[in-house]
Amino acid sequence: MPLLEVKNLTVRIETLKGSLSAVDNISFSLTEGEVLGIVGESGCGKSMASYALLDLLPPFSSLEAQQLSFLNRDLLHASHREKRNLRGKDITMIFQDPMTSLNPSFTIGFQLRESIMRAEHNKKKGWRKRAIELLKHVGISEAHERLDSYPHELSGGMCQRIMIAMAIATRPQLLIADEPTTALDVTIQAQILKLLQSLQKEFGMAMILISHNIGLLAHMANRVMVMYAGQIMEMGKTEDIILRPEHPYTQALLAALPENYSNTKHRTELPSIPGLVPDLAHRPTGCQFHPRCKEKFDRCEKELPELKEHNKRKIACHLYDPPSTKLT
Amino acid sequence: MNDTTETSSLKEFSLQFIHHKGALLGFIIIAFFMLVALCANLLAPYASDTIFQNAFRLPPFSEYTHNYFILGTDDVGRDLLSRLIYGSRISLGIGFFTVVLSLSIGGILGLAAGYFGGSIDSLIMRINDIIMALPSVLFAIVIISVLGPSLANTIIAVSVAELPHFMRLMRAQVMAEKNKNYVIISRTMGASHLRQMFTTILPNCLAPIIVQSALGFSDAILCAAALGFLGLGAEPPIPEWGTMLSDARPFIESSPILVTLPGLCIFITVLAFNIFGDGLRDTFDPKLKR
Repeated sequence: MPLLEVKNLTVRIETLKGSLSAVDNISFSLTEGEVLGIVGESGCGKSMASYALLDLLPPFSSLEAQQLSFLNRDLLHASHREKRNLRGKDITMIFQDPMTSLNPSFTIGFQLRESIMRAEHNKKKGWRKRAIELLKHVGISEAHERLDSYPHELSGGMCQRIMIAMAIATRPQLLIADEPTTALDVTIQAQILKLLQSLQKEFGMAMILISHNIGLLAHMANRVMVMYAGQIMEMGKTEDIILRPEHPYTQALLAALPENYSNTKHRTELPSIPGLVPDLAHRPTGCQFHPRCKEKFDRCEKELPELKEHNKRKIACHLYDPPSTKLT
Repeated sequence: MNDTTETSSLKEFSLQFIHHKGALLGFIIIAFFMLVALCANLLAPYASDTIFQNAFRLPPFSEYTHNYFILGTDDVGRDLLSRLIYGSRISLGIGFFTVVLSLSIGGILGLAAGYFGGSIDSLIMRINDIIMALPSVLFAIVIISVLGPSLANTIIAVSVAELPHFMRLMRAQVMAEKNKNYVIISRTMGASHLRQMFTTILPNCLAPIIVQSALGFSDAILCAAALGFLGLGAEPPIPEWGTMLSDARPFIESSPILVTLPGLCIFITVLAFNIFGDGLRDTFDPKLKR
């Protein structure tokens, strides 16, 4: 039984330029204890897709879906109250910038207490002990003193650890990590990722990890979903996608990793994908990626490829979808 | 339990504040007036409404029937010093209650406007625009003429005239804060609207509001004095500085001290609150720190 089931999810944002679909008809599911990585460039709808799950969409945006269920509960028709009980308890989230994620006016202890009380039915007693336990769990030394610190007295890495402590305080079934390491420096990044990984294994919680770094997902995720312009380009097991990418976009993303680049002998310029993510108000016709694709052909400009099973994965590309059926 | 961090930040704040000479001067003057207002019945030689018969408009340092008047007496024979001392109570009281009233009402309205946005915001801000379209003294006069002149009505009128400052400031602050990550996070944790508004966002918007309160204090005192001068503020026996000023107006040539002293009191208090407010702003705003 899947933990999370999303079918044909579309998120529209109303703007002066008209209604833009930031997330365009995507479907995916997640089983218990699974780590799903979502990767794509900025503005691909990665974050929007996860905000939709938590009902955190910005104003003037709306959500459409055929199915959106979590633990067999229908999120589409759930009351406001039901959704409120769900988020922050069974689904929690950590964000990109840890320094602004904590309320600057309150101590760490006060903010941790809120999460702890939420998990334990507003029981006030013993929160301090539990808070110290949580802080130790996420690798913070001198937890006693830290409880009385204000966020501005701590480093970015420390703040992110505290965010993680707050997120796991309720023992969630699903943790959404929206680029949890982007704002941190490289050594801290590795520590935070290691921490997330060990916590995920320990609690057996499912995780959606959003990143623009496909290399990072290779270590963490069981499955990878590659998004472009709000659509799924390729989705499958991590080994298949990372080691044997088939979609030109996935290949280009992997080629753009500096790690892969350093193996080549002739150092020229870092490989990159030419062009920009399409403006959602002026989407290209056909395949969304075709203006930047190296392997495009006529059909790419005319027809939107469907997401189809191919070679142990789902892929949306005309290269792997022979048009034989339509040639009549 | 927060002692260590709390005191150190407080200490840092007061150190910076002391180095700001203007602010310190303002603070000392305000503290002096507050002390005078609090201990008025100990400091004043006579009650504010005791009339000494035939002791009209005596010059300073004069003695009359075994009573000594340091600053002389006014046109009906009341001791000027006592009236000024009791007047500080009235003026600071008006300032205090006006700021409390307009801060709480304006703050809550601004908070709601900034937080909810949309039609609630438009409604509140249009009311705000209407109040702002009229000069504040004129607007206060309109309210007073509807409610009738009295001390309480002065406070209400001045508070309403002061509302827009707090509303606008609060709204702008809330709008800047409400899209920050920590607010979104408290939403993911299932915080209700009220909780988000008052517990999550409000404490982060307070610094400029505190500064505005200090400046609002001086505005209120000035506005109330203007109303008093126009005969729309406190009723005559009450020793309100503005009212005293207007009562003494006919004698501006024969005994100018009667006009000068209340005017000077208003001037000094307002100036003190203004430089105090500016100093607060400088110490609160890290961008202006040296």
